[in-house]
Amino acid sequence: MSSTIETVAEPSAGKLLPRVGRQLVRNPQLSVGLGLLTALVLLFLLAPVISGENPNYQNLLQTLAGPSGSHPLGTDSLGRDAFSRLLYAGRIDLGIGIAAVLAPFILGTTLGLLAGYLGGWVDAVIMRVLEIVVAFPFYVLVIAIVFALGSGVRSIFIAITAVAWVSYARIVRGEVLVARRVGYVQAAKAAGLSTPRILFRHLTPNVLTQALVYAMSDIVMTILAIVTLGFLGLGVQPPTAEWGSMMQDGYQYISIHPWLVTAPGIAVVVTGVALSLIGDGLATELGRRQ
Amino acid sequence: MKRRRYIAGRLGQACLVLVGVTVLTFLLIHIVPGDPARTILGVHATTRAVRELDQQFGLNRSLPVQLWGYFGRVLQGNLGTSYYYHSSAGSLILNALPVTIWLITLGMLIATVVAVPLAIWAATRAGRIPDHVVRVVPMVGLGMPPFWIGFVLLILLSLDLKIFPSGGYGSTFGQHVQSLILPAITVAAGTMPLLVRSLRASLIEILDSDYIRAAAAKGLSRRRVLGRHALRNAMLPTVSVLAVNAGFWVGGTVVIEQVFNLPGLGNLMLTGVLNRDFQVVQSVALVYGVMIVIVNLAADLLYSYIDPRVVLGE
Repeated sequence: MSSTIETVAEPSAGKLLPRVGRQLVRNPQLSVGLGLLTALVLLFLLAPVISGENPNYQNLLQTLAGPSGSHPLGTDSLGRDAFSRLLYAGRIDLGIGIAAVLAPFILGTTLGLLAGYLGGWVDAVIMRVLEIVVAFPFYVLVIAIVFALGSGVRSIFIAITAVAWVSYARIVRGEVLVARRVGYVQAAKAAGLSTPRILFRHLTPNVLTQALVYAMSDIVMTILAIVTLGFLGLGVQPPTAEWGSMMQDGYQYISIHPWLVTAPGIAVVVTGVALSLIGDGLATELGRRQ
Repeated sequence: MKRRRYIAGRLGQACLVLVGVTVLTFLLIHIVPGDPARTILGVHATTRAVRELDQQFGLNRSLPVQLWGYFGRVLQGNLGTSYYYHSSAGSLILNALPVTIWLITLGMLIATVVAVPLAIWAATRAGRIPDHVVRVVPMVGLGMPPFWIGFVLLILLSLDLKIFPSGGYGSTFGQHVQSLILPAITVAAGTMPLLVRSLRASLIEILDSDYIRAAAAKGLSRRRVLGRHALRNAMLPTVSVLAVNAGFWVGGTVVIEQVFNLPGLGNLMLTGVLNRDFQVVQSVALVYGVMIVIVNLAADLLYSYIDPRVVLGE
């Protein structure tokens, strides 16, 4: 909660870089996580340079080939280069994973702010709806919604938004309940500021940090959901390369070509670890400031 | 008196959530583009059958009337008919439910057996290498797709070594147990990160408390202090963390069942998804929701008996 004071005391832009550098040295989790994520993003973006192969080019004369110089991970059942697909899939999975977190973040934060600050029936209604959503296993509700809407990226966005807002609402509501009793909110109220102004100018910046930390692990969860839906054939539709659908494709050949399943899985895990490290690092950083 | 009021309040809340869960599954059919009756009966249904179902379920009436009808059917235990299997969704669910419950139970058992020593090992060496190792492992675990570790197990133990069957459920009790082991390990791998994390955190806090110092000062053996005094108290918050997150780890079993071809609820739901068997998907979702509400309620009530502070609202 002391972050308002911190913001005032923020050094000028010229001194910011060395300070960030110092923080990164002090916080190995954060720096390793950021480094790993940067490397992954570069790999995915430079996919055309790293692997000359077109991820969707089918060479039906060379299906299920083993690893070789031109195909480091071999080819899949349609003769497509598995390594190329792995890199291009990273764009899709990480990209959609990050994008799909935005809507639940905004929705959950807003509802959490309203519930915590206004209390009363607003709080009661939001919390009851939240309890109902939480009563379903995450995957069950996501699968059911995507099933009802029909598979595809649009359905994934809707399903994840409908399910994932609850965590943000919970976190932000809790933070607001604490912050409401702190001096600056009382002062703003006493000064006669309007409720929207207090909510968005004064409270939001202070309660947002926890939600941001959580967003990191939420991106991991979202990527897992996208991969799972892809594996079930409900996600990103073929021929677009996506880790989940790659695993589904490779699953049938698990006994002869296990790497077709293991490689996309390892990609998911490495991406997840990078994001979790950043999340944990940010949490440590915040803990230190408070 | 206070306890009674707490229990009554908690029960009332659970009932409210159950109603909400039913409403949400009811609404599912109305977000499907197109005609609800045709969605239920499948693409090959005749116009007459569609009209009959419209009549029977009142699908051409207003939403509240339909909802009321849905409530009535659910309360009577009528979960609809699977047009794919030509049998009632209720009986399909009753057959599948035990498999899922066994899978979850065995998975939790394995998770606990592995997580408790790991957490003790880390907590008693807080800040040192074992602690860091135990903290990194859950991070890797939480980043894994719930089913992917199943693949790895299949590749290592089933296909190469042929110790375990690669799928199915068998027909005898022995075969059931044997086919449940790999999926249960997969479930455990998904649950353990949460378990270890929470247990480690609460153990570290408890080991620093006065009553532990007192127990040690009294001359009790380290083993006794850890096992009887620390672990018992650390289990409490852990159980509630597990209950709160029940939705997360139970959800993982859906896909795990599919990977190992176990005939449980998740498998039933996903087969329903593939065949566009709407009533099965809807009813399984409902059953999952009810299951989680019951687990949460049971955990809260149990907790209130073990730790009276909950009832007193502290």
